[in-house]
Amino acid sequence: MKERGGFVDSLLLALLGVVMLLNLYLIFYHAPVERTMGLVQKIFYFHVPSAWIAFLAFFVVFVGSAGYLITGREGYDRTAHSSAGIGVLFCSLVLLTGPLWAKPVWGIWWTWDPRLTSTLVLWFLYVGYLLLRSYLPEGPRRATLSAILGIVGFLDVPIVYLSIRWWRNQHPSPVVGGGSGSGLDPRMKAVFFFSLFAFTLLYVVLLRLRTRHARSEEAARSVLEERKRTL
Amino acid sequence: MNALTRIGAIFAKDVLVELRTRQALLSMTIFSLLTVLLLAFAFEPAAEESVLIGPGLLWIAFAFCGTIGLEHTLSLEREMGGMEALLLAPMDRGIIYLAKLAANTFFMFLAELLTLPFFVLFFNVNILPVLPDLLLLNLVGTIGFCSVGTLLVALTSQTRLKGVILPVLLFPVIVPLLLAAVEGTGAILRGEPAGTPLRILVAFDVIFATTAFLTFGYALEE
Repeated sequence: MKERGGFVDSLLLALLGVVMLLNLYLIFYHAPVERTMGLVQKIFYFHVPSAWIAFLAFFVVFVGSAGYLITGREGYDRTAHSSAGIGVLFCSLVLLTGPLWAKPVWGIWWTWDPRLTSTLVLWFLYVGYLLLRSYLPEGPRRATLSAILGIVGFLDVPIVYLSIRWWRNQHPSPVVGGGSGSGLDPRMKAVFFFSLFAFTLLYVVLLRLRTRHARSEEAARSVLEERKRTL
Repeated sequence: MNALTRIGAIFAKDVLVELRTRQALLSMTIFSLLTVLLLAFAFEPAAEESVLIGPGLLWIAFAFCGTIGLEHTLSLEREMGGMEALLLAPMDRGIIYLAKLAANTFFMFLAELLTLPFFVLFFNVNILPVLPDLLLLNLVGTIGFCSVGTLLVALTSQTRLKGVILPVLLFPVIVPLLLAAVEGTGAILRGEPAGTPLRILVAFDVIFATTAFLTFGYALEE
């Protein structure tokens, strides 16, 4: 049995290796050291792209879920599941790098800022998604039920953000490194966008590998079941 | 039979069963009261603090009691094979959802109504002058809670863990609802209008009731 896309994956993986190394070089040598925050600010180039990947990944979960409910094709479910795992991983990274950055800069590990709080809620939503999957037997039922949760979870994201922003905003929004181009040095900006690109590539490679893995797993299982029947 | 009479028929059946057995409503109310009591012990609010923490306390109790109620209306159908009969009925699956939503909302709202007097008693908060506003907000919030809950319980009841995982999935989704409800209740208790929170709650109800109406059919066993 010939595995599709193996060559493309190897190529992407090689490219990713080069891009990631280049990204690290740019972050630590090319980008200027921030005046007030110093070296700690370098975490920005990991923190914000991780957040972007988490959001992208959860959006893909939503698309995959809707695709599965509409077409019933397994591929959509595989994509949604794989993407949810990656999303939770990067969301965890956001929640870890955030306090690491906040402690030296704001002097506290955590603040009930809308962005932080909604990221935390997001993390709970998609950990729930993965939990639900793990408690269901494999098959079309699991795909359908998790697709519904994938849709509900994603629809909740904007409402969570807005509701928290309306009422739990007693803390000033962070001014530093907001990424909205608020006085960001052009070299910093360039490095930031490169990092964003590098992380997106990482996401694409991870998603491809995970879905391929899931596909081979299913193929292996069906071969095993075939053997069991003939024995 | 049009949609409304169908919804009414399933709803009436659920209410009738409940009236005969009185299982769910009783345990929901008692549980809700216990939660209020435990939180009151845990925080020991002084009179002026009651208005501050009262709304949050009340809604945590409602969320807990609602969670048990959700589990009940669906397991009712499973026990005697009622679900097969419902699925066989020639109607849109969304109708079953709306009927279950109505039943869940009805029971949860009743439990809330029974909890409120004790809240007044324990915390010495006068809710009489604002009662209509408060009940409206509670009703809208309860509909929102049940609109998500009725869908999610259909998912979790098919897992091995059933009741354990429902709150794990449900509570993150209802974070915005809880925020708006608490904020709205607080405003009402302070004698202010609860315009924005109420609008958020209505938006939440509409978004999730629509989503659930469309996807509920997939969630039920074939």
